[in-house]
Amino acid sequence: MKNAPFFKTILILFTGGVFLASCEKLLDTEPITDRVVPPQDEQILKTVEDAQGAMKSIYAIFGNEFWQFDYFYLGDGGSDVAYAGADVPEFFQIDEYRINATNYVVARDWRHFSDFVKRCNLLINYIDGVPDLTKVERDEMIGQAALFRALSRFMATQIWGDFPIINTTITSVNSNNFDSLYTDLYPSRKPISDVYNAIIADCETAIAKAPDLTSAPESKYKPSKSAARALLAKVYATKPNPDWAKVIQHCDEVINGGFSLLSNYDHLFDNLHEGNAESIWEVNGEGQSSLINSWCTNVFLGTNWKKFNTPSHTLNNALDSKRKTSTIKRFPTTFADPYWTSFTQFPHPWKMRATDGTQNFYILRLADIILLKAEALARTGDLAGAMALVNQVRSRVSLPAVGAVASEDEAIHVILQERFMELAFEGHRWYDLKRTGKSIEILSQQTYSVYDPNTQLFLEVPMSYIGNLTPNDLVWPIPQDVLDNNPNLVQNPGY
Amino acid sequence: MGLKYYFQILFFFIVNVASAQSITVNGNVVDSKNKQPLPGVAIFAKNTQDGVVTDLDGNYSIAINPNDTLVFSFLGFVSQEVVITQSQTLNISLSEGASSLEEVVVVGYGTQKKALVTNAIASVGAASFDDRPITSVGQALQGNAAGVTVVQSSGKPGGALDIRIRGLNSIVSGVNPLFVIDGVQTYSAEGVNTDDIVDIQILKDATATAIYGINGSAGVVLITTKRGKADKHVLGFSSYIGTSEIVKNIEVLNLDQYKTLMGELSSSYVEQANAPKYAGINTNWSDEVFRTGQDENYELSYSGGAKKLRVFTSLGYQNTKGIVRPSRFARYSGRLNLDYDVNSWLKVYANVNLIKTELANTSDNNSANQGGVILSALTTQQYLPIYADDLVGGAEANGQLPGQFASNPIASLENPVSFASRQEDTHVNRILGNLGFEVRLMKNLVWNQSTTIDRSSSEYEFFVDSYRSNYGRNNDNPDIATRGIGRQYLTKNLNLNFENTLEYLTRTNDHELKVLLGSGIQHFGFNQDQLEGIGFGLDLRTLDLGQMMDTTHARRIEREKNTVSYFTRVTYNFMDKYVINGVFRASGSSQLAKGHKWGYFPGISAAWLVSNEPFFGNNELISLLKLRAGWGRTGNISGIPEYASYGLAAFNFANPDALEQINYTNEDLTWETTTDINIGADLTMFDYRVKFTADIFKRNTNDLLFRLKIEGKDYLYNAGEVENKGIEFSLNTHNIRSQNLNWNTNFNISFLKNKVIEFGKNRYESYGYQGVNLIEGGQPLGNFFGYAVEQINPSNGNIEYRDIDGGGFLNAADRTIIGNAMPDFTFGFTNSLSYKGISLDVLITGSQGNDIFNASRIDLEGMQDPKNQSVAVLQRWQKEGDITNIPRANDPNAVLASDRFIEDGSYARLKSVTLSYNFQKMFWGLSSMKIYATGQNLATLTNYSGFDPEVGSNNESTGVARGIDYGTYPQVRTFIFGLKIQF
Repeated sequence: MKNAPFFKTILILFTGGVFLASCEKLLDTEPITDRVVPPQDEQILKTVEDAQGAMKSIYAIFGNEFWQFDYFYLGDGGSDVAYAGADVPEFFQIDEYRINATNYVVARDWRHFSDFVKRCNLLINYIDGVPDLTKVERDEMIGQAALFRALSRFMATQIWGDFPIINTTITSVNSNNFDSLYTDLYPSRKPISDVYNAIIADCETAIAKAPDLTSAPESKYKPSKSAARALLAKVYATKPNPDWAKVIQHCDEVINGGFSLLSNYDHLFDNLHEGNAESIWEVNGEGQSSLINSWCTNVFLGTNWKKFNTPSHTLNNALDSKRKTSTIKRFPTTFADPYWTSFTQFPHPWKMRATDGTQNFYILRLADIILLKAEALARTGDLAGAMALVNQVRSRVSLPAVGAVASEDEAIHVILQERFMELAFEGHRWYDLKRTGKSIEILSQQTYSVYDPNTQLFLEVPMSYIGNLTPNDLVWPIPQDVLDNNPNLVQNPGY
Repeated sequence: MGLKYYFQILFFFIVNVASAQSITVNGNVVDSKNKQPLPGVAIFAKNTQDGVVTDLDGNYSIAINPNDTLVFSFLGFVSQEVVITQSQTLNISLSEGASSLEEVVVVGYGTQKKALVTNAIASVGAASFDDRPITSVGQALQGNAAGVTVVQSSGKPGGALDIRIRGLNSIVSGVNPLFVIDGVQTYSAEGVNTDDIVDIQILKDATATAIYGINGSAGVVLITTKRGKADKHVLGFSSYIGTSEIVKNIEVLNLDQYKTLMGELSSSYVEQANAPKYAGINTNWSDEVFRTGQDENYELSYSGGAKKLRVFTSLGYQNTKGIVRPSRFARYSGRLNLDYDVNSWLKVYANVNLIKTELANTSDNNSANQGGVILSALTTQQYLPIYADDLVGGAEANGQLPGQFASNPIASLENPVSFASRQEDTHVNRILGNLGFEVRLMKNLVWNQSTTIDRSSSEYEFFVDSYRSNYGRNNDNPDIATRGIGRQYLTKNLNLNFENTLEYLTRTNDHELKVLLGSGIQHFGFNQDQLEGIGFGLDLRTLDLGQMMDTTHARRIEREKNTVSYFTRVTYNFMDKYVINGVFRASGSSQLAKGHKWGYFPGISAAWLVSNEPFFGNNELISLLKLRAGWGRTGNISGIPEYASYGLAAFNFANPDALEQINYTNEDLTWETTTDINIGADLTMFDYRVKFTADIFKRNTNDLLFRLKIEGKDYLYNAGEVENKGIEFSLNTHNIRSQNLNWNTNFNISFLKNKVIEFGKNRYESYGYQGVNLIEGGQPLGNFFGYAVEQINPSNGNIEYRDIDGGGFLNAADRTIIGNAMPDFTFGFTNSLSYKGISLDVLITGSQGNDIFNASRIDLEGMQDPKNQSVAVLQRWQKEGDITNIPRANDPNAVLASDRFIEDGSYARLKSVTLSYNFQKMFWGLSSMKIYATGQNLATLTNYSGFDPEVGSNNESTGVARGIDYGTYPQVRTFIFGLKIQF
């Protein structure tokens, strides 16, 4: 290397060149495969695809573990329809009315409801800024999102009572806007009455804007005007100071809306009659790698491990033969239960049967609304009218008509018992008892059968935990981690 | 911002194209007494701080200027000085006696005379780990350096280690140190063959690590590998083989005891156990799961070269078969280190390290319900057989098929053999390389350009076959296309670093000034292809994606980040009495938003060599007394993801089009900044036979990164402060020094206190099992939070907890602080005794004052379900009046996280004992031969009731979840026999 100075110069120039060319530019990297959310206050949904994506993420709510699992567990397992089943301590807590604030089911469902509402907000808040949608398309999307939001808040307020109402969409939080977003980030709970006002408003929006039902079964898989009316009827029946006239009005709209009870009760659940004439709004499972993978069946039915929601003796004894065939399935398993000690003919819920993720289930169906109207009639003095509707549901399963009842309370008991049999394992019981104010009266009387070898008789023994149930247990605690990190929240009494 | 342009300009002005002549000297250094090679001898040209260190075989090679004086110095030996006029081979023999101050150590971007070091640096030489059956750098450090805590959180071969230097200074960021492997800056030393390592320096305080800027906050580990020496040809071969076994097991109930317990839970469980199909079956699951492990290791190396071109190359193979099927770790490694002196002013060096590792994982630290093999081995019911074939009547009669694992009647449970049959393999190919030029621009000015690459590609494969297990059969789903689960993740990581430094040295009689200027560009690329699917042939036992029927998930992720840095160091030395060292680094990072990209990290430190003062005189007792002090600032950006300044939407598995937000934007994000004060003293006494170092430090980390969950989505922000303060001592003594008998001891101990001074926006955050690791302001990290047991009520056997909030009933507000996972101190104690050719090396490590949350006991003593339990439950409450600390069976509150699962995790462990023999007389042309036997984890003194007190945390990636044992794969006891020969 004779040309040492030359070589050194070249080397230095090369090195320097690399530096000068690169430095500042290198520091501006942009996401390659990650998707970016726009800053706060920017129009988030821009294209039709964006809007459809947002709509799909709302539909995906029904694939979430609340709707696939917890909804049925609280509604049935937490009531006298079913025993806990399985072997998970947190679920025993729910079954035995001794939930505490660190229960993970409580925490995950609180989180899910906040998330459900947020998904709906995204669409509702930004859909107007998507230029390539027609007014009809836009309205239908708003109507559907509104009903999903109403349903989410309706479930949440039934579970927790007071619940936050958040309508904003937060995409970008930083030190500049943190304080202004604070009340949405750390919301206080709003009184039940405010929550119901928001739910009613969303139902009204859905009634105005959601699509009409068509003859196609698929139209039942999304929120429709009829679904909105049915939900609104239930909302008016459930809210503090129910508005029974409104309940009757909206029930009638549904009952006269082109629906009919299926003549064969089992067709409701045999997976061969999806989107049937009785269905008002149903969840459409489409298989394992689809938008809604309906894995719920595998939680409640099967032999491979001990399943949740073991049917109760009370239900087993109450059911008429037709509905029992469609509601409970007995088959040999390798496990037993303190309440069903024989595992040769162990009972399982039988209203979900497809294990491949394609199971459909009902959010609302006509029998539910007919019995809801019966409840409204009973509450408003038309006991005979109420019983006529109950008998309409009973006649479908060839049960004799119930006779006249003497009092509103007796009528409510008859209606509740009919709902118990008609809607078992459809996630209703806990909420039905709460709505009618009968939770403690009925759930404190749960028994199970024990065989007495001396008398060779089955004795009805009270469940060991029924003494746990107090009015405080009718609302869940705020999850402890949420409570601890949000100074605006106050725990429900008893937790 | 102006600062970096200043540096850029400065860089180009210092272009002085002058040249100087350079010559190379190489050779070998031996002990004059026994002619054994001396590793670690410092060799440098007098009046410079540039130098080299002899390798394990005493070889060296150094380039100097003609007529320089070469100095050879080694602790405990008399230094020698030789004037060099031309390139030559120079073999030196040093004799023991009065020593010098001239040892050099490797520091960031260069070397420094050890005596003049102003920072807190710990050194670990190869001699302290090269006879042990270890697989990673972390294990080499364990117990050997003050202030460095290494927790091997699982005994799994190839398992990750937690290396913590001076405590925990972050909550969500990575707290592993930066590794610099022959100049390659990386966060992982995985796969580096410890046989190739000469020594390891650990930079502990910010005055030393600030030169690494945003990456220096958790400390820096500098790893130097072996290099070739001219005309000194050494062909080496080493090997060991050995076996390992479980140290301790946990006793579980036998079948009779089990059935009695089940009778107290539910008669149906007894009925289940007594089912005819299980008649006569009694499976000892521990016997089915644990086995004898095997260790083997081979290394072949060559070191040597000609005067101008020197080479070190090695090939290694290591294979460790774990004690729990199917765990295994194998490593193939190849290394080539080249040095070429092109001419008097240009040197080229290149290192290439190729690594291939194969890891077969056993799922541990997890409940049996989630596939944790260890807990499953303890809790699976003994009445179950492994295979359905062994059920009474055979498989078919019981609704199964031959060769299938017998179904477990409990929800989601399989037997441990079934869990272990899952394939979970990670194969990694990694290349670590470095190409550098050293250009002497002027006599005193050296320009170093280095380009490093660290590229790894890994293939992760998970497979559950479609036939044998319930899980694999998708719960006997009639649709065959849903049976079998396969997953393949192909990951590529690229780390490129392009650095330039200029080093200028000037010296007059009393003053010495050394200036380093540097710049660097670092690029990190990451991409991953994820593929998951279901539906596989019944006979398939290892993943074959070609047979997959249905893809459930396919995704590609690609990310990159860059940093640009400018750095400088100025060292001024006055008469070898006062040394001042200033460092500064400016770093810009692509992860951060505009306007927040650049950070500046200064450090300043000074040393006063009291023993060089005239007033100190010629002290007989004290050879060296040095006082050190320093202040510095470093950053940690590892917790900030690539695109933190953007809000990102999540990928929806089911529906790629659906928009689901995962994190929020925070444009104000910045790195965590640690401000560090260190004061230390070095004292060498009794003719260099006693060497004592003490350091006291305080590190305050501000702008901690926090992850706020807003509706389940992440919002990262900076807030708060955490403080670590501690004292470290290390004492090296040469207790006996004679011709035949030598005895050295090395003791180090570190005390650490940690406190969260200010917390973020949340009241607290919790991590780990049941959120038992709780972090809040005013408290140390590592706290355990849970219920405090009041009593086991003698009348009903219920567990009762203290009513902390006075609410009158049990609620979440009754939880309190029940322990802490942080040790008060950790220590390591090494003894080396040699008599003629026989040596005995003993390493003892320990930890004192730390609690362990033994979550395994929740599964083993909870008595909630038909899982088998440990013999501890024989003490359970059974009838009215029983006084005990184990509640009744089936008490739902018994499984709450409480202080009854807190145990003292203190331990002292005989980590390793090596007995070796160096053959004194050679044959077959060998130049050296050594045989040795090593036992690892021979004995552990502890009160901890679990498998082993050295535990990490269950399934948490952050450093703050710790001290939780939830079915941890236990540490193993290993015995190996090894041989090392050289030609």
